[in-house]
Amino acid sequence: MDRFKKYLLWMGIGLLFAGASLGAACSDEETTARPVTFMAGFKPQANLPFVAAYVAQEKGYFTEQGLVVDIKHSTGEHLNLLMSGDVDFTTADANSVLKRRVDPELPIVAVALFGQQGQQAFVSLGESGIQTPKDWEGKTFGYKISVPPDYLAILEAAGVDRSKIQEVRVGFDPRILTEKQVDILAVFKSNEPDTLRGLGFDVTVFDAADYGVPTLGLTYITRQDMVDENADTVKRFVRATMKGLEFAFANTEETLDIIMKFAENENREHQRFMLLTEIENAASPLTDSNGLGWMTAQQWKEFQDSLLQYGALEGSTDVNLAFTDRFLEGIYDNGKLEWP
Amino acid sequence: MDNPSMQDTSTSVRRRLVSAMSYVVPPVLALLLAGIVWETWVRVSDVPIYMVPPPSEVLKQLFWEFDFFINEGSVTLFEALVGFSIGAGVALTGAALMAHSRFLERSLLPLAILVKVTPVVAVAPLFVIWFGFGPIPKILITALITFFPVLVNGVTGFRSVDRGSLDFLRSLNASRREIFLILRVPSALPYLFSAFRVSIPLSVIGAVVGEWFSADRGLGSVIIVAHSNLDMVTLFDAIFVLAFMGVGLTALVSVAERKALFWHESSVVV
Amino acid sequence: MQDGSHVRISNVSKRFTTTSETLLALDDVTLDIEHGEFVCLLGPSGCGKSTLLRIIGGLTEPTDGGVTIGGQTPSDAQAKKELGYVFQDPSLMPWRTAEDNIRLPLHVNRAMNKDSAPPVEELLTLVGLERFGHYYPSQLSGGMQQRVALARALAFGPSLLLMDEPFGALDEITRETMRYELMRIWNSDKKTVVFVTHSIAEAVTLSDRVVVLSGQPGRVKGVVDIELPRPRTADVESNRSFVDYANDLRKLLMQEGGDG
Repeated sequence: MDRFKKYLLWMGIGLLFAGASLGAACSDEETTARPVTFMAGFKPQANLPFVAAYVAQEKGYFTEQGLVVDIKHSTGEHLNLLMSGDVDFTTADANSVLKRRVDPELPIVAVALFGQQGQQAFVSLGESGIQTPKDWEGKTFGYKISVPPDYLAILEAAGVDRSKIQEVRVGFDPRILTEKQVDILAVFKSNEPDTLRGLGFDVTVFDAADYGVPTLGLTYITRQDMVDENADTVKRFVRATMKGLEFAFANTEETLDIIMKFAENENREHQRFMLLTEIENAASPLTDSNGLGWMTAQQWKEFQDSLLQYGALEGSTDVNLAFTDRFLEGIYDNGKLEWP
Repeated sequence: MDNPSMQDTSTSVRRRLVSAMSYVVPPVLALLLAGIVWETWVRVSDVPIYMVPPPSEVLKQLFWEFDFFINEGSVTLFEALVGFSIGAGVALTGAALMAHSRFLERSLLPLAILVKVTPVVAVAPLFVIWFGFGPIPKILITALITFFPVLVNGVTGFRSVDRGSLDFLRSLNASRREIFLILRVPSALPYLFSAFRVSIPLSVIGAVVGEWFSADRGLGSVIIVAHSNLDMVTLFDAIFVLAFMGVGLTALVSVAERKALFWHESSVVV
Repeated sequence: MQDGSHVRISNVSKRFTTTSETLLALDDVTLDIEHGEFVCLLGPSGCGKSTLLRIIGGLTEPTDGGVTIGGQTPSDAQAKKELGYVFQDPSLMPWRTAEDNIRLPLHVNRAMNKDSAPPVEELLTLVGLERFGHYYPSQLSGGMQQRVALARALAFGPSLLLMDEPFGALDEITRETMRYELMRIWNSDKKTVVFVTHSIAEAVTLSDRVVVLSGQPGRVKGVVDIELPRPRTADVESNRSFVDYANDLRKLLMQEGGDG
């Protein structure tokens, strides 16, 4: 009996000790390297938000910021994983951010903007004779996952009768267009047009901007609770990735080398096209003065207003909740990135 | 004349009712219990609706949007049934031929295995590119999925005939066709029904997978859209309806099986 | 009625070859069977009597020698639906009623259906199953199933009946009952029957002639004529000659080599 009691005593002490040290290890000590998960919203390729993270990883910027970052790639579930807490940062189109904040009221926040202009575009084969959005009437339009707001905006802006277009959901294989199962396909400016030309097809590209519809492109998003409770981590992440972005602007070849490490099976020239196209849309007078990744409430407000006007959004949200520039403010001084 | 089936009908009807209840009541109770646990957990842990919806919300929307789910469900059901018919039809024909010719079996069976092991999700997008957005790609995928079990069981079934019966028919100089229709087909039925019970739920899955790759209609399409919108309530509604469909179809097959196989040791003889 | 024998078995031998060895199942068997004769093939297990029956019925080919039935080959006889078979396993189709099983031979090879074939009701009555036509095989006892099998074999009016230990799977009492039932049924038509058995009592009760076969390989050891009065009913066993015939057969069986 005595031995048993002694045994219990030591068990109790041991458990207490284990519990205490576990608790200590779990404290939010920012001085030790903190594990962070970033999930790119698609397969490995040269989309600018992905590139910034790849470069930050390979050039050691994350490490310098005291972050241990696990870079993953999505097969469609990145938003869910962000919500469940398995992922801390992911990518999303700006119009997605606005849409999701309305329905189903996701607490997501954009912390940096890559696409000062959006990448959403629409293509048709040159041989189809489709030259203006009005020609879309009576044809078939293919979109991925859901009808893009830019599409609805173009229809409004160009006075096209939506009921005369057959809209179908398609997968990610652009051959759906070359096999003429659809006449117009929703694409990323930086991606499919190049692929299609590579297949030997002449394509016509329709950009919402050409029709007076303002667009914003890809952003980094995180959860509201990350912004509120782990602001320091968010700031470090943004700082490191913006440094990566800077590097990518200045060192095309070396950046491509890094990209090819993550996207082993991709074609380097196609990745180059993607990288350079998106770099073009990531810089503007705004970013020249304030720093890459910059975004303003006015940008977001104008964007949301136009989406609402063109019937591309079902409801509005307070843009100041949908994005925050405090991290950008925190890392730039007069347009120069403070490093380290 | 004393016919065993002409017993006291009132007690036999009551007995059958009780027996049917004993099949239905336990799973319903279990489901209810599970539902209560789920609902309680969601409410207590305050999980947001876009992560895990409470069953009360799921059922509420299902009730109010019943028409919608019925309509979408019938699209998927149609694709599943047509696909199954084609898959089973081709499989039965192939099995009938293979049962008569070892040579055919040896040359065609490896092809069938190739079809079976090809992952459907790899082939589905190609089907859409080749055959467009109509029901054809989904029907094809469903046919591919349901084909193999019926083929394999068919070959075994058509060959699993009683030796004595076969000898008897041969002693009458029955033709191969007569032997097939009179002996092989009924002998194969237990095997075929077994395969149908496997293939029918697979056909629903096939239709749904097909719809993931291109569709505006059907529960598979509903699932994809709901998933991308993080609309968990609709997602679960679609899953419920699909599950119900699968169970219902399997039950139908079982009923048909019991009627057709009253003579087989696998069923209960009155 | 034809002149000459109904069934002529001439120098029939059967060899089975496997990859490792050759088994001589039947060795030079010669036998003539007359029209309307009831012949039993008697012998221990493995003496090839079933094989011989299958050769007569055209289900197996002999390695040497041949069989003619009414001057034609067994295949031709098969083609003309001249052969009725009853096996030890009644092999009724379980998804058909007794009646439908009996009717079955008429659905097959219809070209050769005879007008003289008796109607199903008559056959059911003949085998004592007039109330059981709608029953399924699973609802019938072993003995009843064999009666159906017998009716089935008679349904298309064959001239030759081949029976392979049809009562072997039944209990002793049913066996004896069936024996006398068979005699009653056969008595109405007196077809040619070749009956395989390993029971001496059965052979004596049923046959006009008993052919005794030796064990491996199967050879004709001897033939005993049974001249007991017909019809053979249950009291045939109290006939003095019955015991004598049984003893003769026993002696023949025990002779030479004495395999059990």
